Amino acid sequence: MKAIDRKIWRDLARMKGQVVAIAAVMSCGLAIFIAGMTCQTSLNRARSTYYAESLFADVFANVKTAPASLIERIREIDGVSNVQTGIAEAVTLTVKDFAEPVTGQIISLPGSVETMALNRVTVRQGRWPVRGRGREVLVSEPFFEAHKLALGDRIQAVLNGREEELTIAGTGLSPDYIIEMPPGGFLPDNLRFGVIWMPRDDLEAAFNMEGAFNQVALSLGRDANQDEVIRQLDDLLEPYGGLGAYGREDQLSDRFVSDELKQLRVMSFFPPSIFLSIAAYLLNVSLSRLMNLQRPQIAVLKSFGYSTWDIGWHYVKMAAVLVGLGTIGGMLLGSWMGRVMTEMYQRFYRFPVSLYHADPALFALAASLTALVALAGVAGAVRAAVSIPPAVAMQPEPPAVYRRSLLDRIPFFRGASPSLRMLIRELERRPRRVFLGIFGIAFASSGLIMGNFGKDSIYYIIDVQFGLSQRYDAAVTLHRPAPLRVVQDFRAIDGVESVEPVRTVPVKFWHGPRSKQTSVQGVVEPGRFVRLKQLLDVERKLVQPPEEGLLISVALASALQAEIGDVVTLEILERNRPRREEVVTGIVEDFEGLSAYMSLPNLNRLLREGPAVTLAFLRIDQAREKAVYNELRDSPEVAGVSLKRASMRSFLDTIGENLLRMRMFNVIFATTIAVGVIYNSMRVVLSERSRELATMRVIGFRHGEVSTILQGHLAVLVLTAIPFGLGLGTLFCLAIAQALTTDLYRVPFVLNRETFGVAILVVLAASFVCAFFLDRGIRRLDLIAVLKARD
Amino acid sequence: MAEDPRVVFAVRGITKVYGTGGLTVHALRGVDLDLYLGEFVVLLGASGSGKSTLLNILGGLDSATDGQVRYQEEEITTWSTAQLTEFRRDHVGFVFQFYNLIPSLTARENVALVTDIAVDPMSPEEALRMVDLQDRMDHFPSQLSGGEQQRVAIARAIAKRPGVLLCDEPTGALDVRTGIAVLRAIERINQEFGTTTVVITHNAVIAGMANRVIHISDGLIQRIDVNESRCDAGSLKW
Repeated sequence: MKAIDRKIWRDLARMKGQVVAIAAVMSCGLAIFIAGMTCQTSLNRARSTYYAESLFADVFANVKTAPASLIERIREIDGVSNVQTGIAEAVTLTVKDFAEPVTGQIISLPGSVETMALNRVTVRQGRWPVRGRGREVLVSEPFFEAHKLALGDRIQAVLNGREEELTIAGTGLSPDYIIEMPPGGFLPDNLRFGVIWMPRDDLEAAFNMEGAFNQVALSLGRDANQDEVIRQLDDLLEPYGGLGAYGREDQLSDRFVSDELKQLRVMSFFPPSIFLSIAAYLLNVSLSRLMNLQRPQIAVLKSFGYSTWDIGWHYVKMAAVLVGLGTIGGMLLGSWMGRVMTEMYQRFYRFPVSLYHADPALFALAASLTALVALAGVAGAVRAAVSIPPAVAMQPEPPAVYRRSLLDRIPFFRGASPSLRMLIRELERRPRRVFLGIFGIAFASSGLIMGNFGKDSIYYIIDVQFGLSQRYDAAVTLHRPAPLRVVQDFRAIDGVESVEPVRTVPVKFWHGPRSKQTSVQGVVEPGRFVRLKQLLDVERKLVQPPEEGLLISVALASALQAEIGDVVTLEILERNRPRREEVVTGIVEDFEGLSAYMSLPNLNRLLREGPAVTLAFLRIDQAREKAVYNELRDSPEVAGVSLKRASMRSFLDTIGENLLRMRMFNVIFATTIAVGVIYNSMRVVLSERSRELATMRVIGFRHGEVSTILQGHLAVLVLTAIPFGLGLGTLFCLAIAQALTTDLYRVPFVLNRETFGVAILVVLAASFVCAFFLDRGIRRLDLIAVLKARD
Repeated sequence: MAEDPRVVFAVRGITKVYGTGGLTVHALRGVDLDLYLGEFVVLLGASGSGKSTLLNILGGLDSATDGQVRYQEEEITTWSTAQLTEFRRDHVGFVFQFYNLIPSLTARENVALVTDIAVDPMSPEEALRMVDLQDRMDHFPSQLSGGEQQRVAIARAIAKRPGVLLCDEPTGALDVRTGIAVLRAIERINQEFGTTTVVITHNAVIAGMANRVIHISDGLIQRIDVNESRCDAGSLKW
């Protein structure tokens, strides 16, 4: 090793604290980038591979009952290349050793996988079920795993009102259920919702659907016009109760994956760029200081004949070692985080192909990214230092130039102690550095706010949704609209305290150029029934669906860009598809996505039918819950029962662990930035001011008095940064809430006081740690050496 | 030990060893010395002779390996660092070769830095007048010449009315003319306040100003010359 290269290692070893701090900030940025990108490419890759292998459809439609003969006419639609029809029905299930209600979607399966034109089911374990042989089925893999089932196990299902025993022949996955969302849920709940595939003949027989279908999927040719195909398909299905066809982009499972990818894109770009900018800034400040200290060394090297280029290259190499450390750290941390996060995704998104994919190109990209950032941080410092002519560099640096400022005219300042003046003038002299230091710490505080935002938001949802809005214990969905008398039937069950009937109808809304397909709930007029689901506006005040008009959820309002007072068009996707214009009379705080409410009489008028029920909310005596559930399950009208307590628990279970993990990452990263910025900034200040601080010690200032000057500097940075950071964090959370809100769910923007408190405490704790090291640095100042040496 | 009330510093058998094990440097090898009230002493010696080490021990900046130093009635060699800080704060004025002013403070504020914490200081203005800088009081160090900066450093050192003024190569970084202006200031302090003054130099010419000249080499006092008549700073040439 050349002598000059040995200097690199010695210099870096001497400033190891700063080296570690800068490399750590850089590693964090890089790690988030790599992890985010890994998840993104993994998910994207797995999805497209899987879609291609399983022949995932392009257009989907549900219909009440359509004859098989319709298939030929669908096939003739211009642009359609393949058609797959089937039957899908909601079922209630009973799984051994699991007392709570379980619902499922049961889907028809042709004789073999080869005969599936589209949306091919992949058998993961066991074999394809054989028709007629003891009700064999495939169950979805996540459901199978969640219940720890075994091949050959039996589960009970209520098919069209008849209790049947199904035998598990195998487990499967399908591209239309990459994520298995229970109807109306926010999150997958593999214990309480599962997909089951049953040979078509068996299913047709069970639901009296011989020669008919209620579900159709199409694939399109290359040049097909999707909108046109959807229009023609709707026309064909309409007489049979078509519920509106939609493209792949509106398919629920695909939609979730796309939303996730969108979020990952935000995550892998936004935080890393801030982390890396901060690292570049720290690098710049630390290297500038080092080169200032080494002016005489630079001069000596130049006088020996080292060229400006040689010396510049020397410092670039030094920076490269530091950046290299940060890069390696970031790659290790990033690939670990990528793996952990992909595993987390794997629990929600199921592919028969492996999800995790570490792309070597990504690592190369990450490395060149940090190299670029580092170069930006180093270039200015190196250029300034190496361009000094040797004779000048040999001279001590002239005393730093300070001047009087506006503050000197303020009476308070005139009476201030010299140490306070020293502090203020120092801050005034380097406004850019002070600002960037404050920004760095502020960013760290904002990271801590963001870390707890998820928790605040979710607890708000729980509070509003499960606490204020849902006053019921169970929601019972019916197979098809039933007469109002089922309310009496339910009410008669021993243990049921009250019942609220609801009518839901699939609808499509139009407002200007925007349209959305969802459903509308008809709500009984107050007084006739006990209201078990309360509708709340954004201020959490109770609202009622008016006699005429419509209440829409926040998400639907924003999707349609409709406000109170606007007129929207709604088309009922049933019967003869009546259309009507309705005024939006209120906006409802609802986290279930696109929902709409109107009064039941109004809805009935629109449908031109008598009162009917598709959904009922029940309040149940806790002691009789099990019995009530059993009785409901055996009722032929009932398609599914969901217990509020169970969904709440599942919600917390599912989200709790992920939330904890994300919070942990966030807090670690934010703390790293806080410590990195504070420690580095203050280390540089200490180095620059060591001479004056030592002088003060020599002329009789006590350690504490001298230390106060730097601690004051630190305090100014931190105390200015905290409120700024809290504001910044609030803005970031607002942006995140907006970015994460989709048609499928809405993320409320809520921040608790405790979140701010924790952020402040963590930043203060990081500051105290830095203050401790700073204090030690002052204690270790070699008074004699500092005074003997020139600056 | 000397009971002479005129003795400010009584140094007995001071040794200073730097480093441990095989590689040790003996900076002082047993120095005995008395410094008297109001006396002007020049410590003369080559670099590495131990003169700065002696000055630092006297000023409470460094501790002796062995031996005793008494300042007035107190034995300072046994003091803790906190006690030494108080000693420097109340009794010692330091002047360094490289001035060591605080660049963010004006001349007046640099002096105020000391007068704010001293027990019975003179005003910063008065101290600056002593060194003929009454017209430059509101200038920052970057606006002052080297000689002016050193005079601010002297004003800062004497503003607390120290018992002893210790100057380490105060003219080392200055040319003759400004060097003499600085020495004049030191001379004036010594004469007007009777402050015991120790000046380190390797410039033998300065020795003419002193009451006594102490020659140090190799960690030992080689000899002490007493000047029967002192020349004033203005008459020095080098």
